[in-house]
Amino acid sequence: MNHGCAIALVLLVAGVAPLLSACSDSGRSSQSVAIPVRRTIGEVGISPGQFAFPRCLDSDHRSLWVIDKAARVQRLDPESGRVISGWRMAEFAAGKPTGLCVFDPTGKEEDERLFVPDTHYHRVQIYKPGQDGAIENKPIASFGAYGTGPGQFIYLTDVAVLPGADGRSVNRLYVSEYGGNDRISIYEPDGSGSFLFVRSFGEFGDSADPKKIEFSRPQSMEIDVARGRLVVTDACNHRIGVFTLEGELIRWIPGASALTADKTELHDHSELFRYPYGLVLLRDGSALISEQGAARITRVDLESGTILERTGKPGRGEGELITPWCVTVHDSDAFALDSGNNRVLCFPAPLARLTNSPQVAATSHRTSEGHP
Amino acid sequence: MTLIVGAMVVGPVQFDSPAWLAVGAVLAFVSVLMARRSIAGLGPVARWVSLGARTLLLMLLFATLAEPQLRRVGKDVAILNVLDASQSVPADLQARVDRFLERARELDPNEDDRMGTITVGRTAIVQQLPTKATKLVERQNVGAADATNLASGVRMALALPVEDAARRIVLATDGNETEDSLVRAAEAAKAAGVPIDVLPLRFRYDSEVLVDRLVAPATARQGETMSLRAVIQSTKATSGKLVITLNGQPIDLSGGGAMLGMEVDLKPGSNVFTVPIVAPRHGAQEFRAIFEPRMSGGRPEGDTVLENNVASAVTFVSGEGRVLIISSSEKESAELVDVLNKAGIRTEEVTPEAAPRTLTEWSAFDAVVLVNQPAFNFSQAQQEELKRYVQDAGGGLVMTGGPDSLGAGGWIGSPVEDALPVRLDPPQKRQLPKGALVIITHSVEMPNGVYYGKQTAMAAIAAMSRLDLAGLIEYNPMYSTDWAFPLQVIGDGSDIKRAINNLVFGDMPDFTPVVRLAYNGLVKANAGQKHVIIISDGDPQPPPTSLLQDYVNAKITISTVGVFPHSGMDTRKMSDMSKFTGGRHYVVDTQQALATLPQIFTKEAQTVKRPLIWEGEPFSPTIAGGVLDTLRGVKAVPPVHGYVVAADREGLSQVTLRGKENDAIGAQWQFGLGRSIVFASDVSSRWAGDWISWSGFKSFWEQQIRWAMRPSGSPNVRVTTEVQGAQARIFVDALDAKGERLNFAAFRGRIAMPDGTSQAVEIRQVGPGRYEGVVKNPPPGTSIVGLVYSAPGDNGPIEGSVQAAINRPFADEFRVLEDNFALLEQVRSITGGRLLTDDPTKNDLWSREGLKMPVALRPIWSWLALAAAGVFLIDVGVRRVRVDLLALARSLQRFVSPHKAKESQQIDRLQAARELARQAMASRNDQPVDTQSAGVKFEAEAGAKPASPILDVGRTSEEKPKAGTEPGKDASGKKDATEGMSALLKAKKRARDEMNE
Repeated sequence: MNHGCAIALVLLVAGVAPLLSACSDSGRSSQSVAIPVRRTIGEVGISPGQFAFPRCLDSDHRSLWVIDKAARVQRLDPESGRVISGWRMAEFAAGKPTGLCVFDPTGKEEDERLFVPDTHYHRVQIYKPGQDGAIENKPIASFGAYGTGPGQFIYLTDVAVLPGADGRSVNRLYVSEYGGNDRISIYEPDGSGSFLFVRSFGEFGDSADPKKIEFSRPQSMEIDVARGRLVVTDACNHRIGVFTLEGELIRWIPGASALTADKTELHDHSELFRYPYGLVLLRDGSALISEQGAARITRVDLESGTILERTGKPGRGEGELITPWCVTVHDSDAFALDSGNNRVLCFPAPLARLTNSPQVAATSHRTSEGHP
Repeated sequence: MTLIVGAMVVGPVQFDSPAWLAVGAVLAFVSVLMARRSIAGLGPVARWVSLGARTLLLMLLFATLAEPQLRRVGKDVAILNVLDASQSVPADLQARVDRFLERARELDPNEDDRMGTITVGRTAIVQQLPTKATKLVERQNVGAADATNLASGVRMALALPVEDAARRIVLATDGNETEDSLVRAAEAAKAAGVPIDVLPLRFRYDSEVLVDRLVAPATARQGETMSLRAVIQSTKATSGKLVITLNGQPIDLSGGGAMLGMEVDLKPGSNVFTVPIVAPRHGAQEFRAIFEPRMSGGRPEGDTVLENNVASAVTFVSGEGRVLIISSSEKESAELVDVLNKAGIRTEEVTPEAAPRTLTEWSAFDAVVLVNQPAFNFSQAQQEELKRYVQDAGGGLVMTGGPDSLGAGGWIGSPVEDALPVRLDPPQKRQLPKGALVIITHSVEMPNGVYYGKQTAMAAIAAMSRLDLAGLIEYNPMYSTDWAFPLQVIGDGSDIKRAINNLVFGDMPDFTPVVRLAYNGLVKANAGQKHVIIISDGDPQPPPTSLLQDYVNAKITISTVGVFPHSGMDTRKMSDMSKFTGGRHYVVDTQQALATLPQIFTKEAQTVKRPLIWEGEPFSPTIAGGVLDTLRGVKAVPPVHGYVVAADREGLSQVTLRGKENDAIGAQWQFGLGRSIVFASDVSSRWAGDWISWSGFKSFWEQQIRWAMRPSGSPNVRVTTEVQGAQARIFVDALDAKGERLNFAAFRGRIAMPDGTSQAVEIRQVGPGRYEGVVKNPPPGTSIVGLVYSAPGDNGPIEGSVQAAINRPFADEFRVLEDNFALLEQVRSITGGRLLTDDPTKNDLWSREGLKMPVALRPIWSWLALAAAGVFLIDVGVRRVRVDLLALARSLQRFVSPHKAKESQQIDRLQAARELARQAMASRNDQPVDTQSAGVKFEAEAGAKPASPILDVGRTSEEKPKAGTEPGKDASGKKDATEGMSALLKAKKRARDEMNE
């Protein structure tokens, strides 16, 4: 090869490389990669095992729970996707739930509870899973009413459970909501199976001032008992909030306000989240976040705010996501609720899920050995 | 082995060109014959191996040419349910079908089988694609159910993608199809090898009454007594009440009794009731015959389906013509009404809310005047009917200007604009401030939400002018918030309409980014009026007040449309945005209100159309054009203070008055059978105060209106219509004023169908004074026929118009009283399907019997070609390579036992060295070597060369080089080689010469 050829080749590469790079930038998700899918659960439809825009996902010690826009609660085998049991919400004409919290403190069926924030009915519905194969279920308790006052709700998004000292009972409930009433309310058991309002914190807004807690659609919450923290995805402010269990702000991630003068430019900023909706805490204190607006799953260190891993890109192909509402971890598998594609994607979990109950923690520890 | 048309199947392999195999077999045989001589020198084993390899090679080569493909036969079944969801099938039967299929699905032992569902009404709709997980039957939106198109369902079932599974169609229906042909679709299924199993939904209405038809004369004279005949079919003797209505109001048939209808007793079969009616006022009159069965215990007695208890008919009553004036306030139209009445023109004044809705109602008037009316005062359907009233029924339309009229009234792009003699878009050259509109769409969670969302966006854009700016913002689940159509000049609108069709209506969590994006676009836009419309259910997070304040500062308004909001909080949130920025808020929370969405958007788009109004120093429009009936005697007109800017229309439009920059202020034209006029200024003191006091005001408007009015027809031209099977015939009997038959009349006719379509009708003379036309397949309902005629007369041409109606009662769907089992049996027989009973345990829906299992073919020629290459090497190897089995064994031994092998190797080396030495000595002495004695005398020299390779490739023992003649080292050897080469060259030259000779 003569010198002329060599120079031409170098120039060609030098010229084409930035061009290709620019092309990939214009795809709005630069450096995005497909999720390394182990298996896919579900498809569009109304039959058991099918989904009609699922928006809620959580897991217990042996199953996945999904609620979709057909108001169906389905319990699925995480390996096969087979439906174990399921029922339809009694009322759903006004709207369907947009959140779900499975409290499974001991891994025993009799101790398990499902807390369904019944978003458009302004109440929390509490279910006991019951026998496998059940197709009917009635809530064992329910509380809440429409309004902006204490103990009232506009649109509920999630429930987080703080277990009691015995590891089995419920010590506290945290209930998040939006719709102009963006706040988190604390409830405690009233002794009869229902709950009493204690207090609430936060209001609608986008302030980053630590003395003034403001949310814009706190969509998901998780509790880390060992570290004494409540972690919240502040979806429309594109940030994660780390609080004490009493509701005092420890930090926002990202640290400064995630809001710029123009929210529309957020999706190009790699250090920020874009509509973080789903949340699951991992054993090392990091968290997996499903970013509804960016079609990706992000692992973030809740201490430093560093983005540790990021996977997923928008699309309908394998490993691609459309508006992922939730993420959860079961054993060594992580599950992303690919709402827009009516499916659940299973991929390797970076770590085991954080458990707040000593009994289950011991079990989980065994099952999580060998994780990367 | 099997033979498929042109192909041959051997085990799992299919050859698409099997002829090559035969050629290969013949050549292989010839090759064997020829090879027997050429490989005679080989050993017996090598010979047979070579022969076999050569034969195999040929077979492989020709098998490759024969286009081999590996066959994989599918084992699964896909059941495609085609379910009749039309109204003729009783609801309980439809529910039973669903249970049957779900139970059958449970009984399927194969989890890989698939099930999909298609429902059939007027059209076929896929409810579920065939998937493995489908266990339940889904029926969501089944579309219009007033007709049954079973053929479309079967064709869709054949077209749905099903991979690696045999297809079977399960057709659950009563067999009563009203459109297309199921038999033809069954033939297509047979051709595709898909059996249709039929699940007949058997029923028979033993107690049923239907009003077969109401017969009324197509035309009548005012005051004439005419007979209405109601034909009622009944399956058994029963009784009930017959009610006749005129334009929706019941007619008293009881002769002054307490009730308006009359009690009738029905006998089994046909019952005819004749009712004499005096033809009421002029215009189209709609009659309805309604049978009300006697109720017993809340259920109809002797009747089952109530939808078929109504039939209607329309009669056109001739008489003195009237003009309808539609005005929002009396003050606005008072002057006009006054002068028309003085001119002897009968007028009827109504507000837009009381305006006619159907073509029949519009047709009651000879002309319609819209006085400063905006488009949103009329529904889309009303506008369509008004256009048809002019085009097909020959009515007259006059639109006067005003701040809410013409382009400023949102009529741009409306159906009515088509009928106007001006274009409502301003002229290209006209320098007017532009309007800018941004539409923001959010998830619309309701049935057909996306459809309505797109329709409303289309309506808004259609109401804008081509010079205006428009943009679309959406929340796309794939790409988040962005412009679906960046803010830009609309132009011909094709690009933005394409963008609207691609809108995805994502469920956005937050209004802020979209509202901010719209602001960023609008604030930079060069436009006079800037406006944003948001359509949403209201559940996204609200934008901050600071952002809304930016809107206020930039004078940009936001209007919000709350579609089925989840709660009062959503409504308040959207309403606050509108209130803050000076826009409007609308709530759409019923299906009825949903239909008004396009109107809302048209009204909103009108917000940006204010710049189309010219107001300024008064001036007198100039009279344009030649001598016109509408301007007879008018030399000049008074000044106007304002008008709505419009542009000339191409074609036969005639501009009568022109304004600033040559704008069209007055124009007229013929549109279809009717005529229309535009006066872009108004008829009140707002813009035309000088006109009202003008002496020519009365004659000006009288001439305008009389020109536009439908010409009155001669009472001697009578039209009758008759429905015969699938076609309707129109008969015209025409007499002139003297009562003589009117011959050689030229008719122009149009028919306006109830489904919104219209078409021209050809009327031909078939006898003296007798004319006839045919309309094929008029849809159920009332079709209006408009005829305009012109015939030669003694005193100039005789011209006029006449209308009539073609009445087809209710849809055929409701005419059936029992199932059509014979058709289902025929379909089953054509396709080789089965007749299913309603017990799923007795029907194996998933049986493979009679199914054509799908075959997946994968080309394997490349594999065979590769194998052929390998066999070729074997063949060459066998013939050209000799294997020293002993040496091979020794190598093997060395491999297995390295120590012994080493010793053996040393001995070999020694022996080889001795052999070399012996050969060297023999060479020196040039004598035969006595190996025995040499072996005794020779002692190996240090550095003797190792043994030669164990394989002596390509040489026989006779061809081995002689000992001591190492190539390249011995001079004599070199000489021999040179001589040999020259000999070869010589031989080659000799051969070439011989060839040339």
